[in-house]
Amino acid sequence: MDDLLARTEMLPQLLAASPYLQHRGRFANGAFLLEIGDVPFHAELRDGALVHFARGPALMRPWRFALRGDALAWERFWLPCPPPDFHDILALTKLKRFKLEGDIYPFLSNLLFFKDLFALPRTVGGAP
Amino acid sequence: MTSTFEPIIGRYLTLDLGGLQHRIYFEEAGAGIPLLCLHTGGADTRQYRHLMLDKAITARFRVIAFDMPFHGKSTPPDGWELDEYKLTLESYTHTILAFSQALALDRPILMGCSIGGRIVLHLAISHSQAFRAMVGIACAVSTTPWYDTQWLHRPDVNGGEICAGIVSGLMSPASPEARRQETLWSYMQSGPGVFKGDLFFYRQSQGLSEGVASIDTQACPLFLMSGNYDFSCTREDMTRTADMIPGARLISMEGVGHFPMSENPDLFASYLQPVLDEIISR
Repeated sequence: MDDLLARTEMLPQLLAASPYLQHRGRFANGAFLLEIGDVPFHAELRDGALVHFARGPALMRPWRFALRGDALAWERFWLPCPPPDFHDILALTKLKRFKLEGDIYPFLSNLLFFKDLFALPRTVGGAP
Repeated sequence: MTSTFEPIIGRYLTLDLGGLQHRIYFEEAGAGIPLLCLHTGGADTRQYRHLMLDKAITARFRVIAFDMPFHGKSTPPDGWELDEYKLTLESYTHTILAFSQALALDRPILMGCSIGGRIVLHLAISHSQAFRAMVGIACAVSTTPWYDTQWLHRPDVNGGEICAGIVSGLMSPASPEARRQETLWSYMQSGPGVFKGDLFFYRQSQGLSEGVASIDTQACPLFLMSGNYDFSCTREDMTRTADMIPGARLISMEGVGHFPMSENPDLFASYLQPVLDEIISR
């Protein structure tokens, strides 16, 4: 779990190291919540950059949409080559291992950006 | 500088469909038994370009694919702007039969993927005498909806990007990245509301369960192909479908998803070749 959370915390630097991905997300703005198991991360995007990303919980901090998933699902999702059903956010929502909640307009109107953003930890190794 | 011409030839055909003139684009390569290929919803014939360049296949088969009306380079009929595009069982059936007749194809093998596979099942029930054999890819009698299709066509969401974003996860992460992205490119180029209109047929035609049991696979062999990364039309959906049809053969493909012919053409060919061998040997 610690490794999973450490990889989650790398999201801002992984995005910053991907200028074209950041460019593709330049119209994505606002706060969202990412939940890895029972650990929440509060994030805020401004013009495609993660200007705030912190482990919660932070009381009464609003978000527009939330993406929640159990730890094992995230672990499999972040494998370099994930197995079937664990390879895509929408596959995992169909499987009911991930949940998309709130106003999902920002997520869906920037779907390719968010899919690539949330897959970034695949590029950094996890625990063997 | 080196230039290479491909053996694929493209042409236009004008067809009267439902009283309207349709300018239909089609491509073909090879010679032999006609193999008529149907693309997925919201896409076009380019999904089959690799199959048309596969010499092991074109040596024995005349591979043909056409862009459905509104798709690819097939122009929508005059007046398209006056009504919402919706593919129906009737219009889809009529288009395929009219196209095959216009080219005077002699009992072609019919192969289709996704909506193209679903219509294969319908034609296997209603028009099997017109075909030598059928291959349905990702074509279960019913599937579980996993998103709201309203997102595919609204002015405040980029249509090309949302369509590509929705289907991007239907491919295997192990498929070659260039082929995965090429598959998405055709979705990004689809006309507004076309993918959504295709899915009208896909969701309208759910519940084939009773009809498929009447498919005569002795008269017209039916092969079903399923990729294990396809979470939309799952392996379970395809197994259930195969179990309903006496004599239907299910080919389980490992390492591909919903678009095997375009996301990983070589791997797909390795699964398709034995199917074609068997069809020829009958």
